[in-house]
Amino acid sequence: MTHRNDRTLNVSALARVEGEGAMYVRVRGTDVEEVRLNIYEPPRFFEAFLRGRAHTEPPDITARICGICPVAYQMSSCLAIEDACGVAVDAALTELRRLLYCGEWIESHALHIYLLHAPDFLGYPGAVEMARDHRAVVERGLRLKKAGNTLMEVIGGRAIHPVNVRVGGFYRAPSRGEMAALAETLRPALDDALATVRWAAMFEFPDFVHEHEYLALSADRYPLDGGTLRTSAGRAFPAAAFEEHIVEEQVPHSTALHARFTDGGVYLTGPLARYALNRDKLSPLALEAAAAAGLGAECRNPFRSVLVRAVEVVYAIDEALRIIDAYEPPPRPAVPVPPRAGTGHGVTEAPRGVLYHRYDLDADGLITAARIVPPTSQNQTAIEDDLRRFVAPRLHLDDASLTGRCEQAIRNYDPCISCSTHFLDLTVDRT
Amino acid sequence: MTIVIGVGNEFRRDDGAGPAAVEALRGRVGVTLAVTDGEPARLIELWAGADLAIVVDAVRCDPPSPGRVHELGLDTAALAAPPVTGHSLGLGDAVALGAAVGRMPRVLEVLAIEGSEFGFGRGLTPRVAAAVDSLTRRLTARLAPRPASLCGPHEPGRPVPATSDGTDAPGRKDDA
Repeated sequence: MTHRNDRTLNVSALARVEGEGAMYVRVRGTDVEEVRLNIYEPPRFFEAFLRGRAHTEPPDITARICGICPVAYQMSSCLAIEDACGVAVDAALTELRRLLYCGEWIESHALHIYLLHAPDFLGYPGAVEMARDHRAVVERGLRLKKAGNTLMEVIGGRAIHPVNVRVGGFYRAPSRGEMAALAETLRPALDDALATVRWAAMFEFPDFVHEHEYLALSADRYPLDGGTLRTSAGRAFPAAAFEEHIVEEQVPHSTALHARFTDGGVYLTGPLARYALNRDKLSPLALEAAAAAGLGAECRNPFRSVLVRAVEVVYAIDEALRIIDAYEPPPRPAVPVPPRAGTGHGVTEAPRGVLYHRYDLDADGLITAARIVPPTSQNQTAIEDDLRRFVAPRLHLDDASLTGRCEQAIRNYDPCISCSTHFLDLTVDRT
Repeated sequence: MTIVIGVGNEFRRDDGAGPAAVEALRGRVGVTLAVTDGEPARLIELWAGADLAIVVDAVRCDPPSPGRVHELGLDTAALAAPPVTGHSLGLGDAVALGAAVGRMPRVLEVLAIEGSEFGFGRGLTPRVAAAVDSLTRRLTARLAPRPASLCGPHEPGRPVPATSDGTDAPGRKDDA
């Protein structure tokens, strides 16, 4: 029986997210009974088909998990394999890896800020409609994205699924001349990035906060390429202890696993967590931009994550320029990584948050087991919890308005569904 | 400048038709070649400022006729539905976005090849492979390198050798 106050909101294919998923919300009277982020993109079985492959292969194989954040997969896999083999790469190679990772952050964040998220704040159905009224703004977004793209091409060999990364370092290190040309591309992009923060700071943000425990890497620099896992509640553990602290579970409505702390706690990873736990590690320019945009010690309104991403773009360009300015071609592009039997763990900060890899190797370096935990699957429970709390005080809205706001709430997390499947449409059921 | 852009993913069966066409043209035509995943900002960057951009992409049609090639121009390409692969912006969005920011080629031709299988794995289905073969033969004849006197130290009629490493280069331009 259907009652007047019972509603179902159902979006069967979410727009402006990476990959294929749906949302279902069922409301009975004033109670939000059920919220599901349905990830129906088919499972991809990467962990299974890594078994039996050589220890040198994960960077190329796992890069194929995502066209938006392939570097994250390459970096976490390299760290894990090198950990298993007991090898640490040269400091100069760590800097080059960090530089490549900056390119991915710039490109991924610029795409999300300008083409996926900003239309929500400015009242457009999509980037195309927004571009017709705000041409100069979208051109700025495309320039920023191109800067990241160029960085990926120069350091990674190509912009999608880079081919220059290998376990132990790179196949080829860039020349000083290539780096100088890259710097000339990036310097004007810094002005575009600062303008992006000022622009996003003028958006109207819904009044909403969450209390999730934040999880991010923490190191002596703003986290990208390694460090210790820390949370806003004071937990701290190394990559090797990831599986002691975090469990994944299957849920019937999703091909992505849901993650929690082993004590049942829900957590959130990504830009908001990185910022809250590492704000003091931002470069002076990025910190100044954050302060001017009104970002305090932490940001607990997920709608304002667009601002944090914009600050992270400033940081990524600033950091890339710092690395380029200090660059000396390394004596060797890679260090040898001879195989040995063992287990290795690697965690880096993908644009969407913590990405964990673990590999078990036999004495010949063949992979006997692999585990990959991407950020979006870790964030699913927190996203559903946000939606439940976001919908409840907004039930006076009609279905179309409420659905639109829910989709915006999901886009706050820039979910990468393609990555998380093992992973949107919206259904709101008001019965 | 003329550019041929193959859009698609060679690991999703017939979605690899665009990249396969570009691979077949490598070394046989005197124009810029590129392969990309269809993400609009990357596509716009590749075709902006070109005199002619030819985009080869796979499409799904209903009712289906695998292997059929649809020739679309600037106006009709903007109507293309979302892509068959997992991401939510497609060729239609790229055309509309490129037009909105004034970053389009002077002439855009889209050769949309109807596919039938878009699951995981390599290899085109036979009718799509045949369509790619026929399409690349037509493009080779149309875009053949100009005589040596105009383009470098090659014998007339002989293809200009590829300068790339022969691997696909998503998002990057390679002179064929």
